[in-house]
Amino acid sequence: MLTMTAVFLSLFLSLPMNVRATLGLRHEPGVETRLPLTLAGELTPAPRTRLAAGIAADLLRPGLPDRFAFEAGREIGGRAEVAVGVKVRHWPDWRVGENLAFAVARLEPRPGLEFEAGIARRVPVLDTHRWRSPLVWTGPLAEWNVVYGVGWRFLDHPRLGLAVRTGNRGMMDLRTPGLIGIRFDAASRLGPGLTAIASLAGEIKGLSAALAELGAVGVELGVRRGF
Amino acid sequence: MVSERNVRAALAALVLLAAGCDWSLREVLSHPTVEQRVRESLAMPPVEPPPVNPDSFRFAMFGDPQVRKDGIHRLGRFREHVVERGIDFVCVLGDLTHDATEEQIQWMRSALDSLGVPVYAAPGNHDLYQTGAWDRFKEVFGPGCQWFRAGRVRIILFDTAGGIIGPTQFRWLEEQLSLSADEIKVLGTHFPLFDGGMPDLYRLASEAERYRLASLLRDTGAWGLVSGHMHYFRAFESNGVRFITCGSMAPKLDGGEPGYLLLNYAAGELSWQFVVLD
Repeated sequence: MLTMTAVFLSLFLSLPMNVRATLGLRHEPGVETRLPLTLAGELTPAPRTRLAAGIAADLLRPGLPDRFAFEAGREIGGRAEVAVGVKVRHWPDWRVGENLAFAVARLEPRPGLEFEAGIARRVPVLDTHRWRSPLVWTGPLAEWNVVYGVGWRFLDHPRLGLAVRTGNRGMMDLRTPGLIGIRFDAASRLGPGLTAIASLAGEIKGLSAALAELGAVGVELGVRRGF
Repeated sequence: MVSERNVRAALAALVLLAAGCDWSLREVLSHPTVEQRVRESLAMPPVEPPPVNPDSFRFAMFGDPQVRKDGIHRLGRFREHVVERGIDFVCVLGDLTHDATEEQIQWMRSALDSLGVPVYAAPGNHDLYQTGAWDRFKEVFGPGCQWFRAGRVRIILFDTAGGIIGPTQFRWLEEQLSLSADEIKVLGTHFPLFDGGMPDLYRLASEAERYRLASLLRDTGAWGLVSGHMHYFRAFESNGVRFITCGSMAPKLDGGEPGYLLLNYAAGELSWQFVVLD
């Protein structure tokens, strides 16, 4: 809903923006398998200001969308950005929800190299009457999580872009810092304003135990359209 | 970007992190997976239940006694509590030793034997920090996941030594929790699911795994989950399920006072208190 509103608003106001649609597969052995269809948009309503929103539905569990994300970023000094946002996630099979707010600072000391650090407030909602509510922001199980990320866009050709990223934050999720996520991104220009995008992701569990094991693996394919 | 120099620097950082510990880097990198450990545990004979008066008994749960190479631990003082408070059996929630050396394992086995009551143990991450450590653990302390009954209380200990539950163990937990509708179900493991607000790493790593287990505990009416790993005491309750971190028996604490969780079953009810090991 947020994304669609952003798209219509942006088109109406003729603001520069891009929209992406992806279909993914995420498998966490013994925990869950998801087939998320994600629609996300990003627009620039004012110079150096960025708004992004996303919504996702799990095609393996027909029903309401189960992931929502919104974030706003403000560029500082050309090579840094401060961003804040919220994410709402639902697990209908387990009747559990999670509301999450975060603030991060991003730094790009040289083109293609990006560092991110911040803090997030994670509020698990286990109450069977309120697990879908995005308004629950307190609870006995609420916790602070560190947010971190390092990204390196090591190939930036007009026909093909390749990047690798490690960290615990994505557009639609924010993992605990005990999971090290590694993601390879590829982008290939299909035509004016249209780009094919793909990613391959994996997680290493058990950072706190110093006994690493492979966690979830995932792939994502889609397109990005600039307006 | 990834030069030999950078790789060496990363390895040196790992060595520095492990400084002062007799860990085997090889084992840290190539330990048996949780799947392997759980399958081996479930293939072992069931543990013997403790001999208790089914209408009234007491037991203690604590984590991380974590004996180090200096041989120091707190179980000598705890032995007095076992006698004074009439504790019938004990559950240790991982990190029995700091480095999992043969010497430390034998020290801990002797200390636990000296308590004079049955002891049940789940492994912690430190218990796997040597080559062959898992084999020694299960030989000396028993299976990593196990259940037994004391009166109307079903105690389920499971293996989160690596911060992971894993598919086979999850299925086993689902069976355990669904089989026992009329029992009081107490779970014990090394890693906490929830551990207060602090921005630390020391909870079960995957939030999806945490939520799946939390919903299972909620939906099956479990009494609660008791864990170690963190060397302090924390207790929370959500939707009737208690999440208690009682890992405060370690020689080196992360905060608070050393102690253990004392659980008292009487008149069909289970009550708990944190007891400071003065």
